[in-house]
Amino acid sequence: MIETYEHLLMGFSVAFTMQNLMYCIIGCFIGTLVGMLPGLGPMATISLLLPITFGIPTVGAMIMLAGIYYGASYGDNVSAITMKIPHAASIITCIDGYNMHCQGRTGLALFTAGISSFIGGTFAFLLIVALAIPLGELAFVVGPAEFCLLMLVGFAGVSLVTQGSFLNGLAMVFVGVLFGLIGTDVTSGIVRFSGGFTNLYDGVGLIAIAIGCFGLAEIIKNLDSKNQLTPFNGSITLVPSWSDFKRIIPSALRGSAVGSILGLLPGGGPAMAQFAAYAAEKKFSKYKDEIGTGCIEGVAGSCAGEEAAARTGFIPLMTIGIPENAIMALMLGALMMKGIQPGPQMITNHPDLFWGLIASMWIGNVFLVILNVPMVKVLLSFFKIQYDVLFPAILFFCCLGAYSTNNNINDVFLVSAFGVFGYIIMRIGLEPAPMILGFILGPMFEEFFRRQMSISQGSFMPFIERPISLGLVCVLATAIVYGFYSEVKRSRRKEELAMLS
Amino acid sequence: MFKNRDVASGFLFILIALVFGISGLISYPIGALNNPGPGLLPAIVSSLLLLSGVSILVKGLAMPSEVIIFYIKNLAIVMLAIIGFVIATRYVNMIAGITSLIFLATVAIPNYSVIRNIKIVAALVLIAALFKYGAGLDLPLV
Repeated sequence: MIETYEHLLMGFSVAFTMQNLMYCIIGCFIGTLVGMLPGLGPMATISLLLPITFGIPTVGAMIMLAGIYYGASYGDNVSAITMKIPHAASIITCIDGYNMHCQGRTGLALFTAGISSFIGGTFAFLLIVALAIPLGELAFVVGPAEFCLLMLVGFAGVSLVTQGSFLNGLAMVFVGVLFGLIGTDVTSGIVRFSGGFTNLYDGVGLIAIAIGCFGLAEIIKNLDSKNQLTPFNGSITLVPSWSDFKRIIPSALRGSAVGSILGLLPGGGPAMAQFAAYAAEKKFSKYKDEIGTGCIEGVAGSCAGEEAAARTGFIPLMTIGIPENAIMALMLGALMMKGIQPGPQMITNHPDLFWGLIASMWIGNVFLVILNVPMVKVLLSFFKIQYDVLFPAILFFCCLGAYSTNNNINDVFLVSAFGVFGYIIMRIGLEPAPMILGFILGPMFEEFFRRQMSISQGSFMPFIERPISLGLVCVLATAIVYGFYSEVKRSRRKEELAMLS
Repeated sequence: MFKNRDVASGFLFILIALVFGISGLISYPIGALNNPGPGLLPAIVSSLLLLSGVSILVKGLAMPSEVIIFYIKNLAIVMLAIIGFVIATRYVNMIAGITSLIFLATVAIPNYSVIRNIKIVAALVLIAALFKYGAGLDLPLV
């Protein structure tokens, strides 16, 4: 432990040079600005800004990339809360965050997102300092069967926690999985459900669904209701009341704990962590009945969970050399371009890089809070602009985000198609959030499922033989039974109300 | 057209399940359990979706009627504006795309103003230029 603290002090001494601090600040700032652009999540932002780091020394480059990543995550939350255009890691934040924005509590929502992310990041930082190497080996304990079951638990969980009926939520998950299967199957090379469109050979982008189903649908809905009002007619309140602040802390801590664990697992990461943290809030929060209607806990838990998962996601990358998602794969690529091979030897061969990066994670977090609190005031001033002027600008940003992914203007057609779909499902009372989770995890589920079935020669026994799998099967069964029980109760209540009226 | 939201949802799910399920079964091999093919998961998920859709539809038929409103006009205007953006950007440049997007999209609001639209276009072109020359996005502005 003493050795760890010595290494950490070394890491801080590396990160606290003027040059590296500058790289961190620049990374956070640019990452936030670009990440705010609808449709450009952390992955796209890092891809765009990666060339900036080529001419910078290795430690500085990784610190800058880490700053860009966290800045982009926060920018992502800003576009989710203010424009209802989320990316993968801010889908749940969008639900309560946007409701808070519509209630005129945008400042509180953005502040909650910033502080909760700081708490999540600090929690994960302390965990990494204490347990970096043992945590890295956790990824070896779980196999394909466990990953499949974890995802199924996620599907059932998201159907339980989103507004509306369990069956509707589950059906939307299935729709998302089917959309996720469009494109080239990586195992067989067969192109599925493309309808002959070459644009769809690489599948539907998450951006198309996110911008279309959330952003465009919301714009059209606001036009329908002739939304001429902006939430702000006077002063902007940044600092929350003490009672609001007291509500953030327990939710953020719960979310951090959940997110830190899920971030270690390949396929988990921020996407799963936010849903799991939200489910934890729905179960344990004192204000669980308010969640989904513009509740602080809905934003705090999911932001903290997502940030903690993003931090602990570095552990499998650095200690084993396994990137757990596409963003980590980019970071791995950046490291290899600098001649560094992540893995168990990295800590011994490049302690300055490893511990410097760990220290810079926390410094980046502090800078995000310092920079973004005043930035919130600037951002909110944009929303004093009338909706007549604001909505065409948001529409343009949606098109820009869709175009910028592949520099292909035809991608904008796909976004508009999902805009129509998103509008239809919104009008008939369906939630897009479960569909997005199904879309993200469906292809991963298929890959792990096929891998497990090949390993077990078609047998389903590994799904119940191993203790972790068996535990997950029990959780899944409980979630499904509870879901259908709630569905029956809900239907009966609706029938009673209909009879009374 | 639909009795209530549950009936509409049920029909939507059944439609999606049939489209994916039938095309998947015809076109992609299911394989065997020890070597699943590309058609297996689509078949399973489409079946589950069909089952869910039918359940929701049946449940909806037992529920009271409610009105579902779609405002086709605003939907059509926004879609037209986006199509205009795509066509103008592809065949001219993005500045033309932005212009057509703004002038078409603002038809949806009651107080249409050409002067205001010109100001919005100018501001957005400036922002797009910042993203192109500042952040390095490859935008076909000119």
